[in-house]
Amino acid sequence: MTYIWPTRKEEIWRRSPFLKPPEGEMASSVGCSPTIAPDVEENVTIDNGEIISENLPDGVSITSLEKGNGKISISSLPGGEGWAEWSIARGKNSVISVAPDVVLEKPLIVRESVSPQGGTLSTQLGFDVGVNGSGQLVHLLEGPEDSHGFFSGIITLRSAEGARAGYTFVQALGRGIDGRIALDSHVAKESRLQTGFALLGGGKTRTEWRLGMEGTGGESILNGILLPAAGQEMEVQTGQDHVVGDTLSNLLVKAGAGEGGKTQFQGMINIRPQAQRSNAYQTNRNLAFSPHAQIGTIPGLEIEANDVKCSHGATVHRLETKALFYLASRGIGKEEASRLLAEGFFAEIADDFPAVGSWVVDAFARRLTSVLG
Amino acid sequence: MSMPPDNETGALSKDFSEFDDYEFGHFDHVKPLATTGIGLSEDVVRQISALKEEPDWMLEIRLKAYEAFVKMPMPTWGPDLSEINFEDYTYFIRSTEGESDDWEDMPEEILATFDKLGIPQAEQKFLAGATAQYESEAVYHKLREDLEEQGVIFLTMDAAVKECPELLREYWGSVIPATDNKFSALNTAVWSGGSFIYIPPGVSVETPLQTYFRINEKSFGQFERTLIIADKGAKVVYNEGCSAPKWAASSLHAAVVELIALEGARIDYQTIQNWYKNIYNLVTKRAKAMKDATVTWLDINVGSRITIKYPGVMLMGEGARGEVQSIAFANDEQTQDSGAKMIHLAPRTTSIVTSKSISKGTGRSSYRGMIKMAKNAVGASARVECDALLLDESSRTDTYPVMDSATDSASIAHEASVSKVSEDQIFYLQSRGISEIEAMKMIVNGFLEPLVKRLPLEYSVEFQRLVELELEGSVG
Repeated sequence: MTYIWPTRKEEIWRRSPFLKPPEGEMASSVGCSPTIAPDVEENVTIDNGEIISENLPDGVSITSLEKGNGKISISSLPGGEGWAEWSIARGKNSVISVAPDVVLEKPLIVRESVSPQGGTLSTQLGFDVGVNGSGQLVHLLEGPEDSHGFFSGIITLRSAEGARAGYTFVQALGRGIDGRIALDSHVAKESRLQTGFALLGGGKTRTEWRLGMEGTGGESILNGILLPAAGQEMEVQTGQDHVVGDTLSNLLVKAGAGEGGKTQFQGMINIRPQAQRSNAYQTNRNLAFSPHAQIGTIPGLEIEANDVKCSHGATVHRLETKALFYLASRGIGKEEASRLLAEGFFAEIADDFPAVGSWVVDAFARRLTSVLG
Repeated sequence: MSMPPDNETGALSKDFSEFDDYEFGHFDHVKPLATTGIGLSEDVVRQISALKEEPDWMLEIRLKAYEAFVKMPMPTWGPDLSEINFEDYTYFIRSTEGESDDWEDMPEEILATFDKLGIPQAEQKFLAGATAQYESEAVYHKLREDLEEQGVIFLTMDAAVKECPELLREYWGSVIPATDNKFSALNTAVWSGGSFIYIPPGVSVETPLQTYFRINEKSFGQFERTLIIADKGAKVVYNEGCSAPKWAASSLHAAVVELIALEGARIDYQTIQNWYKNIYNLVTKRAKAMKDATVTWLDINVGSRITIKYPGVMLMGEGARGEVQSIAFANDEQTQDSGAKMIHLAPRTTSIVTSKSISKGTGRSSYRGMIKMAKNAVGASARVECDALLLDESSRTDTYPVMDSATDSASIAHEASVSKVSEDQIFYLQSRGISEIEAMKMIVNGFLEPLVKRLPLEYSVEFQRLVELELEGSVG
């Protein structure tokens, strides 16, 4: 089968580290042992989109899209049609559903790994929180540092009317693994969706994230962290798509690029003509930790309604020399001072990540140390 | 004054009769002395060069550029230009026998037009030198004698090709090569008119030099070429303005403007673009600022059907400074796609971009910008602010800012906001006895005030008047 891949003529693919997945053997992660937070027990383990183990609380079910839960379908973000078809042809898919009115106390943990043998993995995952339900899902994608391969993930989220849904993606792949994650979300009337990502590993990665504001009174939040170090290139594409009015979206993406690291943020707020009284905010803050870091940011707006409140801001800086000097004058060395300031910079996002053991915090702290060099 | 006849050509036709408040939409019945006729070909390029009796080197530049133009695709990003058919325009019209330094020498009808535009009066009051370009070439040109004595060169580009070819060849295309984009290639192939300015080291021309561009014919293409060189420590202020009759058929304006500010020099370039709403205004403007030099662009876009224009500064030398102040007003059917580019290539360079846009009716204004920090832009800083005001439900605004940094010691900050004129604001002012239209004008002027108060006096007065004209009929 031939697929239609995007080209660099398309604005949202112009700066992408790749346009299509590499050709290669499919990999399997069956039998991989967790390398990060092995003490955290997962609810679901996935291999190429297929559930290989599950331990779900009451009110949560899991099915495949072929059988269908009838509520969500695998979506292809603009320009990603070829990717969607390619993924569907390769990997299986699963939808985790929280039943209406069910309120989950603890986040669900989904673990996925790339095996040391490498190869290509492909996953399609859906997370659906039913009417007036409440649930969070933490999706951990990891791989050993020395493995090579490619990962492709298509994630679809739905927060039904009156629901409270959460999704956090933690990517801690080895540097030899490239990959793309494309997330689409649908926020219904009077519901709230809180999403987040921490991109801590991988080689060349592209992360697409669409917040679809599709019901009045809906709210959608995205808080993201990127930490690229030497040889790593992280691209993030976001869309805050206000299809209906009286909706709110709020995005904050922070990046810290170390020696030889490269980060590219491209965000777009779309307010459709009928989406009056939308509020949309987009903030991208970047810190360069090294003279050899590369940072790009394109915070875009396309506003077709007039009764809106929209703003965006973007900054690129390094750690304040004055602050480093102040800390030095209090006896704190440059290395420690840099770590403190960087932790402070990321704290407003990192502190909000779901408390599932200490592994996100640990992984983040280790990563920060490595990026700061 | 007479109104233009109906559109008779195959060029894009659109009814703009609703824009009755356009002040300068009259048409002069002036019989051209020479024209290449409708259409574009290598032969037309040769004809233009022959009519101007140009040296061979310029013809070669034109032909190479034409070849590039034919090969280059139309831009696929930004506003829709698919309705432009390059075959539909006339690329060269000569209206008078050469330029004159006496207004009385020119045909009565052309003089009446420039009188109405206030150019001779402005020259007396505010200007150190003035050029009036009508269609493809200058019809009037004069520089104050004391500046001539100081070595200031202010020529039409056509005259410069013959009078100072060495200086011109050194800098021509050094900031914007012909192959920069499709429209710069077109301009280089068929250019005519524009200004050439050289300010000797240390000379300061505080009173502005000005060129006014008038398009009269329908389905016409104006392709002026401007090159300004401020030598070490020199200063110059340059103004340009423009207008066109209310034709139904579209016309094309594709200028190329290159500025070079050598060490410690300063160039202030000020534009009020007030084309009629039938003009495709596709302009490339860029400057090079060397060590400790300053270049500022004041770019006001009120007219045209589609404007694509991003004045830029390449900050080449340590301590160079660039500034763009951009104001755009997009009324019904108009697209103002404007912005700024700042390329930081040296240490401690600074840039500021301030953009304010207003969209009314079905108007669309877009800010498109680029800030680039090269590896050696140590200690450089850039600040971008863009604010948009939406007047109607069908108005649209976009922001596409690209920022790239390849160093950790530069800082970039970008802020943007979008707001509307709220009914509460209008109601409050009405409750104080202010009419709806006056209230709207006050709010819009308040939005623009931080930028307008920094404009030169004559510009701020003219600009506020233009904005008020555009706002007429916006309420009720």
